[in-house]
Amino acid sequence: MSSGRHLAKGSPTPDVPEDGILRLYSMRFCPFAQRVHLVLDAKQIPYHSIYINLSEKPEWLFEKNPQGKVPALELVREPGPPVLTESLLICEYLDEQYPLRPLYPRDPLKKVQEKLLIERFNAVLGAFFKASDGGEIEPFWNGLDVYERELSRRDTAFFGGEQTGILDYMIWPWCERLELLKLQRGEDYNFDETRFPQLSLWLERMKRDVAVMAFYMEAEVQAEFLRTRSAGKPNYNLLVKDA
Amino acid sequence: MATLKELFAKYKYIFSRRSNKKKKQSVEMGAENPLTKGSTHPALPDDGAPRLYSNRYCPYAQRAHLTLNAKKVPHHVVYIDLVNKPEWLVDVSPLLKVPALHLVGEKSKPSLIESLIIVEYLDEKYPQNPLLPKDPLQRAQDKILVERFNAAGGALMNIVLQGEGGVGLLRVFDIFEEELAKRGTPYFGGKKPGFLDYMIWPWFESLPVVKYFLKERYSFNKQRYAKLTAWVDLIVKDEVVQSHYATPEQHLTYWKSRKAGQTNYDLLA
Repeated sequence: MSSGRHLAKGSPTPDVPEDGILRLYSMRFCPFAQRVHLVLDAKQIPYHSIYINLSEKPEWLFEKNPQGKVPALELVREPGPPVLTESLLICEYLDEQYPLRPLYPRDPLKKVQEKLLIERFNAVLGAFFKASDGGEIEPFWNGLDVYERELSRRDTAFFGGEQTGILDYMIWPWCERLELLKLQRGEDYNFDETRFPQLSLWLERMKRDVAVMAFYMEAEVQAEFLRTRSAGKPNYNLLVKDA
Repeated sequence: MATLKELFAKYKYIFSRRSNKKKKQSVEMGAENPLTKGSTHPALPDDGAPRLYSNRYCPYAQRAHLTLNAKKVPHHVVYIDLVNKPEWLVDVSPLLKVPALHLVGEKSKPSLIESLIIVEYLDEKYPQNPLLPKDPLQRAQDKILVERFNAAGGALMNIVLQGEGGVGLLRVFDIFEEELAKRGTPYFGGKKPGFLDYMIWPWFESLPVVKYFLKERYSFNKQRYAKLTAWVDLIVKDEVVQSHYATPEQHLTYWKSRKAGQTNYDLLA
């Protein structure tokens, strides 16, 4: 079972028990991988996490997953076994295959409206990356306006209603990183609570969510990882406790 | 006292009258002259049927047409000029995207965008002739394959505008050649076309355009793509494909004029 150590080129195949439990190929600092962790944890689906060094990917990763993509979910009990990629598609599969604690609404119209909002967030997360990289921050705030309006319109604790739903989890990884943005931009960071009153409350509720807490990372650690990556030597194993 | 025979005849008459009720007419606007800047929104029947805002040669829009037709969903179509979009488009497609499916029959009258989102919604809302498999794993695998095919989508524009990108397109085709061989069925969907077949078909219908712009570098051939070639020959005869088919000449004329900066829609008369 991976202790959080990211496996790199030359490493042997991971020492994971043949126990029929799902295997998630992941990376501790990847927001897309985080989406899958959130769904697995929210639905209480057991899984093994195998963390991958994305700069020097282990050879064996490509045997199961020819494109070497992360996140990737290996469905060990199925013939093959098949490996699913694309964070949104993995999450949809999990919600369909494991019907307890459904995250997508059942009604086709309500479901498609969630999908549209998830799809629309692509532009927002793009704006986040630019802001995190020293670009303008305003486009990111403009993107969040849509979600503030939507949450206000729904008038519920979460986008999913009184409980978290798929939209809450699909956008969470970038919302968690607001603290990171604050650290990176310092004085320049201008998150306005009066512009985002509902989202501000939602942020605090989400931080207390069990699935969110399972993968939550302090901004300082995120920032340190990114700093090492910019320096050309990404330190994937920042969180690994050496025995 | 009516005999059983008379009663049966009476009820048979009533049932046949019900089925002969006048079928709703599907309206199609702008096929020859797509709605452009300065136009007004066309009058459409106020019958609650969804409205598809489309472009006759957009492969993404074609996915929506194929799905609506495959499932025989009553709907109306408005064709849009993509180069000079009408000002009113923002009212029915806030991000000005095509295809857009305006669900006027729903209370909030939402507009759906993104071809795959539209298609998946239709497949769930209208259960007749299901296109996606029922099994969650097969559904996921089909959708992942379509995501991989999306690389081809961008390649078509590059090929038309720059005459390059053939290699990327072929790499995607290789994946699908392999997949079709693996499935061992005439269609990706099995014995008849399904989701995957209809989602990728529009690019195969435009292959003659690729051939024209790539010239000698064009290498979609029977040797490399035996399965796909057979699939193309088979699916082109499918009634759903034929319901929204444009000939190679029509595709070529459109893309040539699009490249030259004008458009010519007067092809389907």
